[in-house]
Amino acid sequence: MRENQRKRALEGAYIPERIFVDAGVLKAPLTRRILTRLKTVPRTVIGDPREKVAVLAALHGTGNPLREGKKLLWLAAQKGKFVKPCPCTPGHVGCRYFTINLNLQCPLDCTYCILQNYLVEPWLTVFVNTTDLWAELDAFLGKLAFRYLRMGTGELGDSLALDHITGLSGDLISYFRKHPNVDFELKTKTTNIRGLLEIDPPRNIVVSWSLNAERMARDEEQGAPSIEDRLEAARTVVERGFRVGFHFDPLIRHAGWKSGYAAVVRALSRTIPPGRIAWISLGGFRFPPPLKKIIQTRFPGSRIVHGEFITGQDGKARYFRPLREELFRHVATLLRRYGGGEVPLYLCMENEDIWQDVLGWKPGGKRAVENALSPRGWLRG
Amino acid sequence: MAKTSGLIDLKWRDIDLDDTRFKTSSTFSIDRLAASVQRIGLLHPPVVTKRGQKWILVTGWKRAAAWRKIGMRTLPAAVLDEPNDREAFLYAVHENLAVREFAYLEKAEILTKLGGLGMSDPEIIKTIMPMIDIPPTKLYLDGYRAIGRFPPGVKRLVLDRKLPFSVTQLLAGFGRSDLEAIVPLLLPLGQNKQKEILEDLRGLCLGKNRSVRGILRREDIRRILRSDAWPLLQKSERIRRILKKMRNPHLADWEEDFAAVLKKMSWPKNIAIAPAPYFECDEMTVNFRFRDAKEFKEHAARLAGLAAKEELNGLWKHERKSKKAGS
Repeated sequence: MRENQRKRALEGAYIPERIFVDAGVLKAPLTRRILTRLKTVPRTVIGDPREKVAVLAALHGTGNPLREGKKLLWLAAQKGKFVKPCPCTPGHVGCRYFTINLNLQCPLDCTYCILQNYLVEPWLTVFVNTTDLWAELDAFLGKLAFRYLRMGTGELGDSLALDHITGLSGDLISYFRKHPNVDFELKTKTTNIRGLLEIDPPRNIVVSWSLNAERMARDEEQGAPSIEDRLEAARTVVERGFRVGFHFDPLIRHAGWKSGYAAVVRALSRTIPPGRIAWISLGGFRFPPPLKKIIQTRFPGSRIVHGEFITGQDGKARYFRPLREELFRHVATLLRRYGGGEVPLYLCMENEDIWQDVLGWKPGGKRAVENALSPRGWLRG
Repeated sequence: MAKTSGLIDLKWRDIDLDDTRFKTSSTFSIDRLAASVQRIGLLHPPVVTKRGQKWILVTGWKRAAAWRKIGMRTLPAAVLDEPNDREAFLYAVHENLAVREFAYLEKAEILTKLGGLGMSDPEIIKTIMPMIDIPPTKLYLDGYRAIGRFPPGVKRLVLDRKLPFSVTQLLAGFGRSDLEAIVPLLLPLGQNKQKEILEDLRGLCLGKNRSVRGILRREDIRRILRSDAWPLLQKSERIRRILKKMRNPHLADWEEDFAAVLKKMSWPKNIAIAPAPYFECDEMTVNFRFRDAKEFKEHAARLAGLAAKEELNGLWKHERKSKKAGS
């Protein structure tokens, strides 16, 4: 095991400046674990919902509620469903993925992050009613015991960024160890892997990293580790025995993008054996129209929203089709050239014609994509 | 809060009308008010305060200007004994607020001036912004301040031509010298097209490292601006289309290719064909109307003729177009 990597894994790990605890979850085991791990952080128990409104108003008064909100951690109960089908986007090919929403918001501050527009509350929330989570998962998986499924956290927050505080990765892996029909994915940009390294890895766990051109990682992914560090973390978990995944999402057109993405793919191929990669996804930079203003206001130096965008079938701004296809084709070709020819590759939120143009086949529905990503199959193209 | 005391009659030479530190109003035409004060006099005298040897108007700028315009030699005014500029300015804000609502340009002026008078951002956000109906956030404060920094000529155009706030917000992203070139282009257009021009200009400047000045100096744009052949509306429209094409060169290229194939095929005008919006998928729509079986058969025969043409595949030549996109 690489000691340096282990040591680095916790460097810069997120610590909130204040914790708020909804009174109803004060006695939840996960609340106790988090409060014990963050002994020195001031905490406030919230019994009256109006206090929440007051915190929100105070954050908005700062002028940058999203930045300031990241300093606060809120422990609450998930009152809706934990498990939801990944919404994908209307008119595009889905992949039958199920998301588990355990936390909201993220300590990283990526320019393009959809959560800036999507979530009302700017602070980081952890849903601590895990007893309800396990019961919901039992009921959900009980009906699907003989079906292959892909599930993961990381849709509304990074899967590992708070793991040193919550220890949830260990709990989730212990749970999914007993459900081998599910490929369970933890999606991250961080190197916060210490918790994982203490676990005997089951075959059905996939730890995934978002990758981008180094320049984009540096300029547009504030607070996230460098690509080199992410790949080093991936190498460490592979050595521990985990399978890994990679998400080139969002692919962003910028000066030098071709060589930028080539460098990442080369580094990936040098670092991770293709046989250990469960899947790789490609997604072009896309955003709902209101996010543009948020990005311009919060990151006035960023240029990423000024490309040649059109309004897609789902109402989101996307690069004009040939520009997207060029991005996808470039990275897909590189992945194949550098030894990833048999790694399952899929497009995130694209239509069938683009699948055909880029990967050479039309899935004909999300079941076909799921099948192609299952351990028995892979995409050809 | 400061109070006024007593009325005095001031000679114009004793008032420094160039000192606008307390001015919140930005209306430039006073003709109607002049007619009114000529008829019934000054019902509410302006408020003045003394700085050094001169009197400065705190409120009543338009009233004073109207009074002067009708040839009155002195100005009756209430005296505000308030040495602190910030307090005097707040007095002006409150007095105006009691009788009218501020236009957004005036709100911008107020927020800018209060910052200059040393009021902290949190205090402005908490106490002033709710009072003048602006959401109390730093985001809005910064937005209004940007508008407050517009050059006077631009402010005047914005006000006179009633440019909507959403357009003005976009204008705030440009430098002072650019604004003077851009605003006249916007005036003849509707709000959506105004926004389109501003978005395209901003996209070209930030995304492609061009300057507004450089863009407007392009030969095709200069030719339009110089021409006497078109009214201002047409000039703005033409420039808008050029900017759109500059901003979306690949889309423009695809649209032109598509139109060229249709032309080559002599596609009939009474059979409409449209690609998917922005060519997002390969699907296309053909649309025609018919009144009876005979007309239907005629259209069907025409379509069969079109289907037999070799050029038809050119409508889906994505490979070639995608390669072009890489430039």
